[in-house]
Amino acid sequence: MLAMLLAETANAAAGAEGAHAEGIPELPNIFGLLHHTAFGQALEGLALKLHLADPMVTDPGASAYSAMENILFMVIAIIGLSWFFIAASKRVRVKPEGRISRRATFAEIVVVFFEDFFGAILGREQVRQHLPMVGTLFIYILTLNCFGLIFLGKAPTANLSFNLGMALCVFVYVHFMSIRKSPAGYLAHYPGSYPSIKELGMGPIGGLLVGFIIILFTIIHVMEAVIQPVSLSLRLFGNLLGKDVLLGVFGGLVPYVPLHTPFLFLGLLLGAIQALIFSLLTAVYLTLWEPHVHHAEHDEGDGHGHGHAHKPNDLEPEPVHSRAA
Amino acid sequence: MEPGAALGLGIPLGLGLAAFGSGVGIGLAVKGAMEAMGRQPEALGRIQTAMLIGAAFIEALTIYALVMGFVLMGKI
Repeated sequence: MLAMLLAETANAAAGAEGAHAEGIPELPNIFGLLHHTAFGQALEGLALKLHLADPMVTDPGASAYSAMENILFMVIAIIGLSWFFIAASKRVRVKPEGRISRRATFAEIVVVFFEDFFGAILGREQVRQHLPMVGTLFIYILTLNCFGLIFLGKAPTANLSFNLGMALCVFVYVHFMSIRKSPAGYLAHYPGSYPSIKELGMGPIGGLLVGFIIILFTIIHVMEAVIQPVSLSLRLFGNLLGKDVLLGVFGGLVPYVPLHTPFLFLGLLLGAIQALIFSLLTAVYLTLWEPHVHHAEHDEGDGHGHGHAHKPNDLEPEPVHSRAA
Repeated sequence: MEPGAALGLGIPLGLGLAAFGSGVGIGLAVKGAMEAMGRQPEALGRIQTAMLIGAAFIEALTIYALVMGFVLMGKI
């Protein structure tokens, strides 16, 4: 193990020198080490055929292969998590028929925890509907973040394209859910709440004013909708890239000395927090884009408090339902 | 001043300024959350969640500066 760690830092030192042209130091990963083998060359050919390379980059081969590494780690995570949770859910039985497997119990603890946690934001009625999306995001991102910490691993979440893809999924999901619930309520979101012309009572000037407010708020809300996935992805990307660069710099500082070890724990904390933030913000966006059910005139504020309006008291947790049986 | 030198001077300075502002912001947010938790410990979970969301929004501003730094790093 020590020898492996030493080899890792030596590679990091070499990588830090070699990657100087690219400007961003990073620790080596297993697929990166396989680049010059036949397997790696085949992968690079496939990546180039799939146009994974950024056309602006001077070395399309390296760029395409770097993207391929992310995809491979992503596939590993998807297969591993799917295998674990599908297998866990298959063995669930009611008590008299047989024992519940350890895996099923673990999965159940995870699900119940998420249900409580996101129930505080989404509300008890809605959390069941959105839990598959939000909970999966948390587990998935946490797993991918942890890939960046294990030996010869790489976190795909330190890549902007990857995060933007996830954020776009969230964007589509949030808006689709809102439109499906009530298209008119969704559209009522954009002008927000505005005073009726009669209430204002200023004649044509009041009409103009109301029209101006409607246009202004529509523009602001469209911008908000666009900015949300961008900021969601940039936050995860920036944090993970910052962590990776920190690890890369300290790993390559002194050859054969794994100076980056203390920062691995920091990275674990950061990865968990960022996974939490990503899924938490998805839940928050789901409440923010909840369709307006009332008339716009009777709303207060900018219409963002709706998710909380019909939320039950979350302080006392509900008893666990039939899922536990 | 050469563009590279200006970037080399400007990126760390800008990142430091962004971190300064975010630090003050997150400090205020956590201060408020701590006081609220001390006053009402039974609402701890919800306060923590709200604080985390707020901190994420504040922290994103520093991250933007960091990302800009990474983007412009090749030009130094």
